[in-house]
Amino acid sequence: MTLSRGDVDHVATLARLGLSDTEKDRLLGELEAILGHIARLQNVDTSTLAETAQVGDLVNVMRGDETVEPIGAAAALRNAPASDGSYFVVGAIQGTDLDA
Amino acid sequence: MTEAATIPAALDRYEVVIGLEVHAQLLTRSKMFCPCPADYTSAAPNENTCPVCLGLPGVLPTINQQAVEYTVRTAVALHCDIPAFTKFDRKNYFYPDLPKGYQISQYDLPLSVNGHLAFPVGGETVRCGITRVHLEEDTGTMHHAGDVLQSATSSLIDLNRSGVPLMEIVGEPDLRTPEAAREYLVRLRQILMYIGVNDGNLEKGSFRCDANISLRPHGVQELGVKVEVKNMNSFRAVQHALESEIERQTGVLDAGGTLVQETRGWVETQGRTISQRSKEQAHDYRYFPEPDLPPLRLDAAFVERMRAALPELPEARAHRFREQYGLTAYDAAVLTDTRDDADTYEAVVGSGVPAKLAANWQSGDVAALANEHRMPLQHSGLGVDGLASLLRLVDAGTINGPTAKELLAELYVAGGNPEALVRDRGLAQVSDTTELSALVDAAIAGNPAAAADFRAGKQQALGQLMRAVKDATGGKADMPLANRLLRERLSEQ
Repeated sequence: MTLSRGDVDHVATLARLGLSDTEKDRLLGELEAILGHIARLQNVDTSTLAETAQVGDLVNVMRGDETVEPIGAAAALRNAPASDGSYFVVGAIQGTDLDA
Repeated sequence: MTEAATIPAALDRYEVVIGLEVHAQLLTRSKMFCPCPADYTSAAPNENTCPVCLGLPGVLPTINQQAVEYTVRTAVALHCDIPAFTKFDRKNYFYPDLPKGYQISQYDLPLSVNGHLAFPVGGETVRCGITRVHLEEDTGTMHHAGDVLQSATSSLIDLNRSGVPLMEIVGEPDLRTPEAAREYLVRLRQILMYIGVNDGNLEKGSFRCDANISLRPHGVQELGVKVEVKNMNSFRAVQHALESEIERQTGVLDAGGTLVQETRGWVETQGRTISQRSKEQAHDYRYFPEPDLPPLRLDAAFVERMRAALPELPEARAHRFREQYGLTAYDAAVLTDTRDDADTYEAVVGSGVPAKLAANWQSGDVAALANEHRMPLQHSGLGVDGLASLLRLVDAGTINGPTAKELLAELYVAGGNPEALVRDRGLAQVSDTTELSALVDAAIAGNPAAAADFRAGKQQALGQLMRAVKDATGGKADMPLANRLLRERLSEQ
């Protein structure tokens, strides 16, 4: 599995990671090793198996539309690095609008 | 506005291609993948949250069955096919209103595919394909300090909306005019409200629309570069944004330029769209199957149950109103605008009020009062039964039109029993011929000039005599009868 520096840049951008060139060089090698390990799965003969997106046999597991008391804002904010009233506070977004 | 002049000119040269994506929140009690209340507006920020919708590690989502049923109900109402197998996927991106770093959505195997919506626009039927209706979760909400994203130094996050069931309805690029786009949304919203899955509030964002629009020269098969337009929170905004975008794209193409595939936001106050960002490629979302949710197998019996539970849809109901009650197309459309309107009408007619009388009052005075008080009849003091009771008094000739109008206005908010009030206040109309004849004679005697004018051929002079009779009865005269008696008496001599 061969990755390029461009692949690392791209993944870093998507993950919102600001990496130095040294870090990128190191990660290029590490990511190649990880993907190479996973790529060993390609050697398994799966020609007799049906495609699946799941490893379990469960299907149609649903719950009824009943509410349960939520944990509330105080508990939700307990580990928040920053808050204002009962809001979480995050830093500037600045034009990286990638919403759905 | 310059659109009025430039749009038709643009349409001579280019074919406009519009496809709409609608996101509609489902009216469930609890959220999509956790049992927190789905109500995100009345609670304090972050109050309706739990480890699942906060995106904390180690939690397990569970599927809300009601949300699945509502989505399938919508899909069958839109003539979609329901595949036997469907699953959820993770759509990955980073944004502070999405605490998990991914949205649980559906990618390659959605709950439904291949439907359509047909509706009239300017006397012609437009048929718009529905690519798919799938199920996902809503994000949290953000408030930017200073209101402008680019200059904000920080943002406030409320995750009450995080995980609210969200249905996405993807339309085919089958629409050719901004007017057709608007009408598609009006009809779609009406259906969602009829079948009880969505409250249709564009302003508050429970029904949201994004539009893809491109232009191509007439006769060309290949689609032009498409632009996605967002931030439209009214039907009017959708139409204006699309008109503005047609004008902008025409300008670029006419000048020999090329358009950029991008997302643009509609800015209502400026009456134009503004570029937001270049669109990320779809594969950047790195969709993969949601490992924490088992897939769904929806059998034919389940789908048939959803189909059988559908109420009569607006178009079919309007058609039936025309046939069954002899209403005009216009009246039928007005009276089936909402399911409550149509139910009210049928309840009133079912209580013995003639169809045309009920139609006139409901689409006239009742609609005006509902608008004035911002209170639909069903929630008014008078109520549906009160209106039916009042209109039966009109139909029986017990009270005249003006008295009924006054009573309706008085009782609309306050409520009360029309029959008892008419009896207690002596509001029954004077329709006794002997009694009215005496009042007619008195009116002629008291207004000799008007009587002479009428006899001389001046029709308007009758008005003064009618008023005299009306006043003599305190407004309770049977006016059509008084009119007849006056004319008879005046033609005698």
